[in-house]
Amino acid sequence: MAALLEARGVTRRWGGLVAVNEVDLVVETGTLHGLIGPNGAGKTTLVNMLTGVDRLDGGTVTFAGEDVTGVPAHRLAGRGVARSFQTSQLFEDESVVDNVMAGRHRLIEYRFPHTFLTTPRTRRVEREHRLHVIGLLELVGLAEDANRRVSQLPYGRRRLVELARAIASDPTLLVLDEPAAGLPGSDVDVLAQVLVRLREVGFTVLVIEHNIGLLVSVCDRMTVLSEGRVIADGDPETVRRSPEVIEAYVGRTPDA
Amino acid sequence: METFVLLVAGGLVTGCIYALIAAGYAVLYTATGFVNFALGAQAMLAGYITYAGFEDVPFLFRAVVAIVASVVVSVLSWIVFYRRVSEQDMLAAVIMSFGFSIVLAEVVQLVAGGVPLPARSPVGSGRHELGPLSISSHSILVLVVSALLFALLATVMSSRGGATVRAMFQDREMAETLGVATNRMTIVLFAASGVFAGAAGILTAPILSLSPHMGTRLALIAFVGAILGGLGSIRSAIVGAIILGMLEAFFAGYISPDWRATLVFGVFVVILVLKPAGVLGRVAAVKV
Amino acid sequence: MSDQITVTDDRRAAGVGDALVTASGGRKVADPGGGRATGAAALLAAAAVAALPLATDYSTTYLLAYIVIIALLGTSLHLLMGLMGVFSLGQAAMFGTGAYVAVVASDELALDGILGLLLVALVGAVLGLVMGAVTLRVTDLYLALATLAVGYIFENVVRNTDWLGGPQGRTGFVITVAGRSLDDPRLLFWVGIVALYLFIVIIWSMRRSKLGRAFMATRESPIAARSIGIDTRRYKLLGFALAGAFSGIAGALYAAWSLVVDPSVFGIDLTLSVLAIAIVGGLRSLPGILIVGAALTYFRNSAADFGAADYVLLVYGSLIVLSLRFLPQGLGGLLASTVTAGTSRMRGRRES
Repeated sequence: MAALLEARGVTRRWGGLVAVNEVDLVVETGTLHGLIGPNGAGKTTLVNMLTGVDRLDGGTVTFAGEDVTGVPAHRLAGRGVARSFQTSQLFEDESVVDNVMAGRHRLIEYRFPHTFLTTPRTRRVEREHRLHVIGLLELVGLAEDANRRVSQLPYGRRRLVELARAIASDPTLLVLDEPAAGLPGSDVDVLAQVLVRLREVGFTVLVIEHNIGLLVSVCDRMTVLSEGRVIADGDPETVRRSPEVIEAYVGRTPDA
Repeated sequence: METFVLLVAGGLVTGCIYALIAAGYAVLYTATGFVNFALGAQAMLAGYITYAGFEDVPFLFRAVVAIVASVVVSVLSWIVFYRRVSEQDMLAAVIMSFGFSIVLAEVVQLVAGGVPLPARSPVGSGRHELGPLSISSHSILVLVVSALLFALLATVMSSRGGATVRAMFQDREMAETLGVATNRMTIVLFAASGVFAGAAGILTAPILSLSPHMGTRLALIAFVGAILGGLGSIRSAIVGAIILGMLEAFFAGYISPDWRATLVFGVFVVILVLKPAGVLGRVAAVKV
Repeated sequence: MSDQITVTDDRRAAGVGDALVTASGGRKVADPGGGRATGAAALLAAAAVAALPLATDYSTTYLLAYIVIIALLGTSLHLLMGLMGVFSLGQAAMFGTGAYVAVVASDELALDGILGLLLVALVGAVLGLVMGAVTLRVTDLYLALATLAVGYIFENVVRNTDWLGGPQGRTGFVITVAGRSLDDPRLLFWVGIVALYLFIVIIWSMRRSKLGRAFMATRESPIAARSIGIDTRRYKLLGFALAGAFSGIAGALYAAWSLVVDPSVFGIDLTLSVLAIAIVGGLRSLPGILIVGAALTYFRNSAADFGAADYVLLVYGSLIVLSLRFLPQGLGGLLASTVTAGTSRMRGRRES
């Protein structure tokens, strides 16, 4: 196994506060990697830096063997890093299928003049991608909602749209920021199935969660973040038994 | 040297008029985040009420009526138009105020005609020699009145009421839970901005003479001044507007009066390129 | 590590995605954007509109030409405000520049209209790019005012440039297309309608493709757009350039239409009328904008006939205020919501 994403000494400060402190994180190709930690541990801040949304105050990020420190989000996405967001960043007024189609942006190419004029070629390319997207919607259980507007969907469904949009770009690395947060039970099951399926077909996935339970069963490897530092890293069983992790979670939310 | 002193005085006078409108913007913006473009048109309206006709009524009475009119327009336009829209979409409300300013201008044009009208200053057209400086009575009036108004504003804002306004800008819900009647407070602020706009109109008319669309331009220039200093604080908005007035005067005096608009709006574009968050310098953090 | 780099190869990655959704092969996908019937109807309507001057008298044709010019501007506003979500008030700057460039191209450079119009489109696009670049980092109110400021600057510059005629502007120019003068309203109308149809086809095509989704994504959530690989800056610049080119052409045709070009082409008057059209028509709705554009231009042109000439701007301003207050989505939104309500009622009946 080789490292697909490698972060070394990544640091972010907010004023006097160190939100993320010299964090090392290695995600290996083809694994399902869990990043967990209590609320406020700096998980989202870390992920924002890894995906080019936020800047780094220190450290380096390597993706697929290349230094991508400070590379902006759209370039990273072009190289195959896709992500979902914890707070909804969906295109509210658009249909589910159009939201997910947007996720295929980097894979669609029809060149001038087909970009500006609807030609048979544009139609063909669009149709192919639309087919793919419909298949994807079936996989995450959104087929029925394909033509509904996102703003009309209940919360849990919206999270799945976000997931589908990230997957749609056929990413080399898929980063999911708390995909299970607020999902009703039935949708959590769908999510778990999708995660397993993603790993089966060879995706590399980094999942952020504050709930250890969900990830232990599906992850290959886990990294635990607390107060901006890595306190444990390794296979799920070892991590769960680590005294630091138990301490970090004791007295916190009972679901931990 | 003489030119320099003249230009400083002239710039200060123009700057003070811009600053009156800018103060109106900042008072509203700091509390509600809304920029009321119709303040310029309200100034125009106050100018017309004061100078166009009713010559036999005492000046002070006309001026008071004009300011009351500006206040009424200010408050009513908020209650009837902007309030509901600004809750949904702040930009739509701002565009609305732009549309409303055109409506005001056109109504005045229908009533009073589109030909520019001269306005006679209440203090006459006399000039005073102060060392190297020759200054008109009206300029002195402008400086004195605006200084008084700014001092009044500063006193009010440093009191408990001012703290309340700042709290509203920081966190409206929090202010409400702390028992601030934000709705009533906002109305008071709209009234205050109406007073400032009215004063600006009454003071500027004898300088520029009256025309229905004078407000649109005044509104825009004052906005440039306000963001030059920073719209997020009343003091910096006022200072910025005065600086812009001076800049304009120096440019007109030493380079060319014809290219003033290019200067003013050029400054605006340059600020946006260099300090895109406005000179407020506050950039919203990414939160996802 | 380096021997594993092949993973980032797109084909391989796409293979992963395909493996995920193989189950979906061979399904029929509904083509978005209406069927053949709608397309045929649109084509027929377009042809009918283009044939209008054959049936109308001189003054009506003259009015139609003006309506087409305003429609071009409205369409560019639809692109900027509706599709890209950029609140630009810079239309007047682009329009006025187009007018002046057209006059200079025919007077000074002795270019024929077609080359002249290409030059106008190019200059307009460059101006659009510059405005886009200047406002790249600002949004909303600041962007609106910065673009408005560009118009004021240009007005001031032109007013003080004797070469361009100063405050009086220029007259006596003849703009020709393929050797025939554009003072023939029919020819002017047809040139305008070709530009308008081209623009509409581009916009419709974009809306159904990658480009349109990139604009949509940039408008709805720039952060999400970037996270799926959309270079939001590039698309913003592209949109501004397109809008600049077509607004410039509108300005050039206006110069041919009015036979005089003076600094008022940069004026607040034009900004206000286009803004009224876009807001009342509905920013997101091209049909709404075209209908309201035609109606308001007709009103403006014939206001004098029913004694309303003094009320034109008052009406425009009031329409902006009232529409934002009571009809925030404009006429287009009203049409769309009526349609949606209708179809969902039908669907509801079918399901129950």
